Amino acid sequence: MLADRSIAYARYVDRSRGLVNRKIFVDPEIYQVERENIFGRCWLYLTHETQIAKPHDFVNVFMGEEPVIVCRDGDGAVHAFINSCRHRGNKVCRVDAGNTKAFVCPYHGWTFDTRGDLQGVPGHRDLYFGELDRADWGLVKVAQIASYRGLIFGTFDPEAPSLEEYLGDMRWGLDLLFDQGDFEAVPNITRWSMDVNWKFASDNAIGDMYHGAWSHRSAMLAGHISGNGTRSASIKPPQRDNGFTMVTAYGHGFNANYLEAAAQLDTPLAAWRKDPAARARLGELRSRVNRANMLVFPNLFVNSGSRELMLRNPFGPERIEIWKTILVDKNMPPETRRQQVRASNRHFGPAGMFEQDDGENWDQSTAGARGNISQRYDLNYSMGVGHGTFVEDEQSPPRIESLYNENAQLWMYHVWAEFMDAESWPQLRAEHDEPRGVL
Amino acid sequence: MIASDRAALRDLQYDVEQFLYREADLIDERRFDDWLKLLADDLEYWMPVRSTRALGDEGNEFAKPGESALFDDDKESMHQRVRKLHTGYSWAEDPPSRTRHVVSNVRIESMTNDLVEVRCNFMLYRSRLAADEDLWVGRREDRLRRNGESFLIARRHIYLDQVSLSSKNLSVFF
Repeated sequence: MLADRSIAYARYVDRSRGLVNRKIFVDPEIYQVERENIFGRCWLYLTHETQIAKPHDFVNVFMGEEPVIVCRDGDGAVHAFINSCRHRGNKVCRVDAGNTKAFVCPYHGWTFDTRGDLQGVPGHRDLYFGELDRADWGLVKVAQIASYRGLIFGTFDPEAPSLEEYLGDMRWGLDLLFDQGDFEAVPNITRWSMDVNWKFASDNAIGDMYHGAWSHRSAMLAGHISGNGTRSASIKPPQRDNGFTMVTAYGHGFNANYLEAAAQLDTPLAAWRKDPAARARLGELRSRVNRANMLVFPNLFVNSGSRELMLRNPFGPERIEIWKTILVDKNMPPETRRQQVRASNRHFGPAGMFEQDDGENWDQSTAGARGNISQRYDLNYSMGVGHGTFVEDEQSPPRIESLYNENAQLWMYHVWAEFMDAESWPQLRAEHDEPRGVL
Repeated sequence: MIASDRAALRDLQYDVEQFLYREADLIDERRFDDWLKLLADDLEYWMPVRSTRALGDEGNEFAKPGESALFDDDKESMHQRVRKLHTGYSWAEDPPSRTRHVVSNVRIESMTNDLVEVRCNFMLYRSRLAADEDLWVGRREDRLRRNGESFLIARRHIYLDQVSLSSKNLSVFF
């Protein structure tokens, strides 16, 4: 059992009492292990297929702290490799996006093609005596890449299971968004950094409905309406049964609230809800969902309501950079597309009416984990512990019929410990827990 | 150019500069309700996202209207932003940011009877809590509409020099 509390990392998470040790949010040594066992192993989101639409299109992204070029070769096949010349380690590409047939290192001129293979070495014949084997010195390839519904993922671990297996039941959750239409990425990525441990941002995504009415109270009182087109600016006391929670193996999960009976669905942004084909794809349960905040473990937040992908990449134990991408339905009328983008621009991002307060609070959570005395006192994730009963029926993969709980967050920390304690993917696959019974 | 045109231009330059300085002071003094009165009903307040592009590809540096933006606002949403500050629950601004706007290089690009197109550079410094600091630097393209002795801001396009912001939020006004 990976969850044995005598094991190195499982002891930081107490599932029966709902406690998480503060040290895991700031400790540099724990972070170094996360770089190997989580960001070196998991499937990580890279980019959306439409952001590299044409042959030789590329984007520069990060997998954990590793800079990675994702590009299409001349035939349109997708490749991903570490953006670091094998000669002295310099970046061979220092721009965020573009179209090119070659990546040339600015230091000595080693030149790589869009498959990451080394093609040109100045002085190869005379200075290297023709002895340098170019085939051995290509850019380091990401071990596996695959995509799901337009989202391209990569993993550095050749032993990782397929992306399909890794996502597992989370595909049913992601389809809450992707079955709404046919999506493309809006050009350009909003990027900003803050002094936050990446896990605080992830645990907010997977299951923190609790913070909404308080953290974002000022935006709601001011009359701000989020971008999902279902107008309801009222602030109601939290209703536990007004939605459901789902978690999966390998740490993914989401919380989904139902449409209010009085929700106005006559807005252009909600028009897809009247499309019988979309409703058929989604089925009855998912058609009732107003919005789901979803986490693809470890660090991708997906919002099915206002339709954003928010990647929170770690740069040290107390630093993340957020990359926000807006998705729109290719078939939307231009004015509806404009309306959705405008709503998203006002909602999420550093100036977002909602998100400016998230930055403040996650920064404070991280600061609160630094004290050596504070670290003796665990954080409280006990909401709903012992009450998270999984319903198993034909409507969905196992789900908890509760919207307000910390079951999903605690589950994420449990899986975090599984990854940290496992020696390898084969061990993780054999010994990980499936979410069943009662959380 | 005849002398009276030059004098009129100097007067306009002076009026525009004084307006921009007063406006910046209103924000730094947190007199946001007074600041809102300077916004025209058809305000367009926009700060596009930026990316690093290769030489020759600068045309793709800034996101275009309708794409990703940090501010994509109109008068009503700016009023919402100010209302948010007054609610008592605006955690990013309570305790408040201490801001300092430095507006410079003010240049009148063109004018008609009604409108003045103005470019300027800005530095916006923010201090918060004990020692949090942010510095945002860039240029603005403002469209001012004459309003009696003063102006209203009809359009403000804000082009930051930074690509990835080293700030946990942008809960301030530019």
